[in-house]
Amino acid sequence: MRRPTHYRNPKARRLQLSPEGVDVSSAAANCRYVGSPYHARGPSAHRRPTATLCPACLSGDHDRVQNWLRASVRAGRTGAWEGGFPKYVWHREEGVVFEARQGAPGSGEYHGYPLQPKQRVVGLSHAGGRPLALPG
Amino acid sequence: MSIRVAFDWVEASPSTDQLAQSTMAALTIEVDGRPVTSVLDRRSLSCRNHVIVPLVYVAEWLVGNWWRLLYEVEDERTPRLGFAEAHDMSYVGEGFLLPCLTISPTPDRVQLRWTGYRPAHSEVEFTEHGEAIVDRRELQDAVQRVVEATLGRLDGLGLSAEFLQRDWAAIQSTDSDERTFCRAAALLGVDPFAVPQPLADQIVDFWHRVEPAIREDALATANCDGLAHLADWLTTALERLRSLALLTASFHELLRHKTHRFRSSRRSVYFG
Repeated sequence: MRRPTHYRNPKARRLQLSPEGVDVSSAAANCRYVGSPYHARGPSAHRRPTATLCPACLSGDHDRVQNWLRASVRAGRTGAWEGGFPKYVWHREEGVVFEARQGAPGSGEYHGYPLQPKQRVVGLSHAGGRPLALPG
Repeated sequence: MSIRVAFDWVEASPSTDQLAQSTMAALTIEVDGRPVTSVLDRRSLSCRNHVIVPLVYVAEWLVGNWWRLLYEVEDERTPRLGFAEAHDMSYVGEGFLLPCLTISPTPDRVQLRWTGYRPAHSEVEFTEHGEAIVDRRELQDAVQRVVEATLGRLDGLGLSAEFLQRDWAAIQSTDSDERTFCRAAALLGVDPFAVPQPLADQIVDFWHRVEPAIREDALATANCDGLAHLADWLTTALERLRSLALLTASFHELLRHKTHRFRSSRRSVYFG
């Protein structure tokens, strides 16, 4: 038996440290929430994606979501980074974890959606949404 | 028993997520003619037998968990941490909803088990439940069609899912020795492409040290933390048995039979 030469990062949702040399404050200031039509509430349609929907109270509250996004990047509630920005960012609000995902790598543009209760983010605390200290 | 996976590309609204937009598809999964992807739209009170999701995320999940989907045996009494994420399709995630379909390999074939559920933050409900056993090769072929259609679609549009392409190419190009490692790692419940080097060394060491008749069954019941200790324990135990001259051919066969029964009994709830 022999280990394959191919290696990839583990796929799990997990808080990860920003890469060395990355200016986290700058990334936080430059990331933008742009939203996604797939997770917005709207008229029911036959060809509508089978997706989780953002709460009605957030519809149109772009600034609030953008503030969450930037605060979470600054606080380190982020997954792996690609193109100078985290691919995933997490924020907890009233017991619901929201996941923001970068569109094109390096664009700094994000859309977001609520996670299912069973979808855990390793390292994200249950209480205040602060990252836990992770080994390694 | 058969599985049918069918999909039609769907024109999706423009999104910053080009890969999702370009691979949006109406996906139907049927097992023995039963629609696993059947959903009730609670808002319009209409039913349909497909979900509309980006196939690129389905393909990423399937490829990301390829080896575990094929080889990791489920322990229903004490589920391994992370088993559901790797075997239950509702964990595909990325903000899209898929049926709670658990793909659970047995030593010989693959059990499919699906249950209805009402996802949070949505207006749909998955309505079907059932279970069936399918041939491993048939499942592999169905997965391969999804992955290759997705890669072909993206390629045709001048887009690239780099990680998906790389991972799929790596799966396709593994040789016999590498496949043995991948199967061993999957039995242990870890992704063979993401295993840290110290653990990879332990898996190789375990494979070479432990009696071939029992090493796969032992891996299926082991955990990463105790692997080196388990190898020591098994090796010592077998040496003692040998020194007592008990390890005759018939005893050897009995040992193999017992461990195989132990692995099968982990699934006794479903196989009786």
